Amino acid sequence: MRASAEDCRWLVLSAAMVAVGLSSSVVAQFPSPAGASYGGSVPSSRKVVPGIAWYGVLTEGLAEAKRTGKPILFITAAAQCRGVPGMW
Amino acid sequence: MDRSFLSNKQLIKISREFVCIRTATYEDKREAGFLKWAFLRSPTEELRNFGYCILSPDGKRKLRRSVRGPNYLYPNSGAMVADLQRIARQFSPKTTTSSPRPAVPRMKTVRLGINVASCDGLPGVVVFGKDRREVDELNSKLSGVIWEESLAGKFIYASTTKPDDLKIVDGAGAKTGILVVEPDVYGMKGRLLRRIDVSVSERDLKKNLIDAADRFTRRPKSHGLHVRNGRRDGRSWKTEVPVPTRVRSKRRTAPGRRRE
Repeated sequence: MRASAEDCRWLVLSAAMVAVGLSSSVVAQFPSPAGASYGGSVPSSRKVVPGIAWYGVLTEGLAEAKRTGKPILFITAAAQCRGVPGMW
Repeated sequence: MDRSFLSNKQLIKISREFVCIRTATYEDKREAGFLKWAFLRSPTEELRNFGYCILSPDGKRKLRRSVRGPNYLYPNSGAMVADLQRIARQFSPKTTTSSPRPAVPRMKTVRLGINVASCDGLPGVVVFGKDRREVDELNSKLSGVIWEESLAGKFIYASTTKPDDLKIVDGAGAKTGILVVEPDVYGMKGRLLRRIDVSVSERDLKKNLIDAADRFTRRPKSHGLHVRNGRRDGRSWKTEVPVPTRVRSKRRTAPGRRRE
């Protein structure tokens, strides 16, 4: 009898883990990207809103700074994470 | 640094007093030398995937020490805004008459542009011209409208004269123009949302881009899931400069900071 109660606990625990796993794989598509993102500069809104306008080519950004006399806000960020693109 | 750091409205406002450069690390051999100067303490160190600093207008002097990200220098984005305001006050931008329009802030290639658009969750704009001259003309039109507050920072730009560069954009075809592209989740491909004709007026171009941005729905991503799924599905990005293999430090990382 004790063994079956133990089994039952494991069964419930396993079911809970599967449920969490399944729900997280669905939910994870939807939460706002509030986690760490070193290169991202866009808020988590689903709408496109104004943001920082980044020069992506170094020489062109430097030329623009020289032309305008503005200081440079400079970031470098890898456009892949562990080799997977689409994520800073 | 989380996204809220650089998406603070006050920060976006003060960013207009700066030229903002965000290079893609490991994507250009010629840029790598400058990145090493800007972000590393010793030339023998390997380039790390992220870095942040403030430079003088001539790009030769660091106004703030370089760190992995703004969150290593400031406790919050408000402190960053205050510091940027202090720095901006020290410089009086030149008034230029020769070329009043800033250049289009583009990425080096269409391929990289679509990837970065996916990273940011923004639509891409690809200027596709039959030759350099047509590309320059279209970019000139773009630069006349994209710096207005209604459009600034809403798109990731790239340009090309090569039809082959557009093979990764479904529906792009061979007709030249200004293409608005939706990147896929991994930024390896895109889908044409609209083509704006080369003959478009600046007024209509602005209307078109505002409409395209308004209709675009950003696709939120979960960092961990994205990377896990990408690795599982073999979505692999080839960088121009090899990414150094790094032995992870055993030191604990500060809470909220991601280790690479």
